[in-house]
Amino acid sequence: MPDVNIRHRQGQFTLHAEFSLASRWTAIFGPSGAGKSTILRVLAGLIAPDAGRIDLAGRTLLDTARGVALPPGRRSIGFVTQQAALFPHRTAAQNVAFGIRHLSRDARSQRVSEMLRLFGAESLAERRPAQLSGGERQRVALARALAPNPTLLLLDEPLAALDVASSQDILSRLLALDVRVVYVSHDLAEIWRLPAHVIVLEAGRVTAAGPLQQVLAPQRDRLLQQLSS
Amino acid sequence: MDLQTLWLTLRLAASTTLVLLAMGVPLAFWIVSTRSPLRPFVEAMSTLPILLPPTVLGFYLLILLGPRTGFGRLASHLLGHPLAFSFDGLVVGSVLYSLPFAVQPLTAGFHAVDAALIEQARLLGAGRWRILRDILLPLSVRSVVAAAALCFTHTVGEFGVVLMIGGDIPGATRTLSIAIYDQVQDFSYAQANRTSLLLLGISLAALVLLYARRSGGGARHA
Amino acid sequence: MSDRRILAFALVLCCVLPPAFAQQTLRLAAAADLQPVLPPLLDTFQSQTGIHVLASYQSSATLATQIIQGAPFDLFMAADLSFPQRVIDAGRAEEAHPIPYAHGTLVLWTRNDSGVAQLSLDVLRGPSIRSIAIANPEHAPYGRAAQAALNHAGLLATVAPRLVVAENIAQAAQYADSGNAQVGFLSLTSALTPRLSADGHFIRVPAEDYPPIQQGAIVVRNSPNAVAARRFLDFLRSPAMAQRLAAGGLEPVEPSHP
Repeated sequence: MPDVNIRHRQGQFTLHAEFSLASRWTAIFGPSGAGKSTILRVLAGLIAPDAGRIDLAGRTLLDTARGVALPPGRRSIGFVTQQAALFPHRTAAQNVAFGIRHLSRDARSQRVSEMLRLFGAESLAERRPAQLSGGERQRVALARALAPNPTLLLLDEPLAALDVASSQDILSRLLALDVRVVYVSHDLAEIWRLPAHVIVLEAGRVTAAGPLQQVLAPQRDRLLQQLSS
Repeated sequence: MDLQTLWLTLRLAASTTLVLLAMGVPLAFWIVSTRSPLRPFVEAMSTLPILLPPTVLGFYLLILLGPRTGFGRLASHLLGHPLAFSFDGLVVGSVLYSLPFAVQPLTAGFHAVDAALIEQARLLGAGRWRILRDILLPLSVRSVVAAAALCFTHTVGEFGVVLMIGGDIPGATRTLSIAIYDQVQDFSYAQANRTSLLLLGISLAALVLLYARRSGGGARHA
Repeated sequence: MSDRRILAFALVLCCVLPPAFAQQTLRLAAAADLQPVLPPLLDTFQSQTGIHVLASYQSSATLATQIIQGAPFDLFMAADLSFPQRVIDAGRAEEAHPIPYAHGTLVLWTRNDSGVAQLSLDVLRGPSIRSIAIANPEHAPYGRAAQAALNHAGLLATVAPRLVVAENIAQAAQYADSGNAQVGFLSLTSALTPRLSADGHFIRVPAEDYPPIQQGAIVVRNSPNAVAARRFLDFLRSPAMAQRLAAGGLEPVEPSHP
């Protein structure tokens, strides 16, 4: 049985996707408008789909047939998009601390430093988002999403607007983490080296799935031909 | 200058502003966050006092607050005195009269907060109350200040409602605007001019404070 | 759409304007206490003379201010003599003295359900009466009369904290009729209206307790309708009309006045 099976209609667009989250890293690949971001938002609980079921690590997050729909805050899911969406009135450290209010003061500040260190952002703790560069913001956003120790991290083109050096550094830090990740991209070069299972999405449907380099090899060849001609 | 009247006017404006913020913040939050089909209706109702001429609003309030309605009897029973012709009654009237001036800026301010921030807060486990307290209010400080300043100045300059439900009682319901009207009716133009200047001065001071704060805030957030 | 709007606008204009085109129009500034009694008399006047009277009802003070500031009225009928006198002093009247046209009567009025059993000035002394509506004594003639009556009865200091002051006599009637004030000093013209007759009852305040509420009129300086204005005043003082005014609560002027 697949972990995710969702149907959702938005105007003319119909999403109907079934897939499993067996691999630690899952990449969702496809052209713009294929429904990649919608899937992530449904997983996160920000969109209620017309019908479907989502199981994650033995928990049912959504089952429309049984009227189950956990709110976003109780799904144990972190979500980082291209837009870091940091709280502008809080420092980097306060941003990271937002989701771990249940911890004691000491445990919280320890966790905040740990998370910032994980992304090489410990020196940014006292800065506000307005004083951070794009790459620094993404580091803080990732630290914030991971601070509550989520079961699943959703990444929607988180590196798209960054320079190569930053994105390489952040990606290698992400790969070192022990967390299940769903990574959305339309950029083949960005995801090619990921040790991931891939789901190819086109016009709201899953058209192929499997080990990434195997499934996407034909596309890569086509791309290389275009580049060389 | 009649200090009692000045003090009463400031007290009325401050009380009204506090009540309006306490009511307006939850109301505006409900308006921006609800999916209820009642939302357009509630939003329209909260705007309606702008449309009604103040004396008409005051007339209906006079009826509503009076002993012939359940509300009037209940209020009279709870307070130990009838609402009409009392300071409390003026606060009730002023709150209704200035409601749009609280709800509109607050709703606009809350709407202007990036939806992605609210989503992140929800994902990080924040409930409605925490989203309001930790995200919406701090990011809408300027709208809250604008709402407060508008409610305050609108109440200072309020006339029609007070005229209808006040009863012109010194120390309880005679406000500056009523005093000015009385002075004009008595052909005491010089006195009326002095009182008007005072009224304008208060409103100007409140607005200068508002705009000073506004540009300061803009520089900080830029 | 815009054609239809123009049509609608034209229709509205047709409803509003014809009297002005069709016949002579007298613009009357009338004190608020006249509002309950005057309108049917205006109709009678129009049917007898063809002169249409366009009346604005406000407090005498507001009307006097407006006329002094050049408001385009032809005739000013006040609720006392002092406001016409102000207009005369400002050089805005044709007359040198206000023309008395009636005198008003002060009543003490209460709703039938107010719990006041035996209405009298003396009742006000008791603590059971918590609010008393009066018109503003500073500038409303009936308010001045009410204050004088209270003073005469030695009650003014006792009841002062319980007075709620309305801007004019019509508003005092609202305060009392809505039940917000338990009793009210009103004009007889208000008390005799169908609405207030149905809701409550009244006693006349003894005439010797307050100076008479002489109501005076003036013709506004340079009015193009001065002749029509005087004709209207004569019409009001004719025996038949004086009787109708009296039935509405405005007594005719004493024979000693012209």
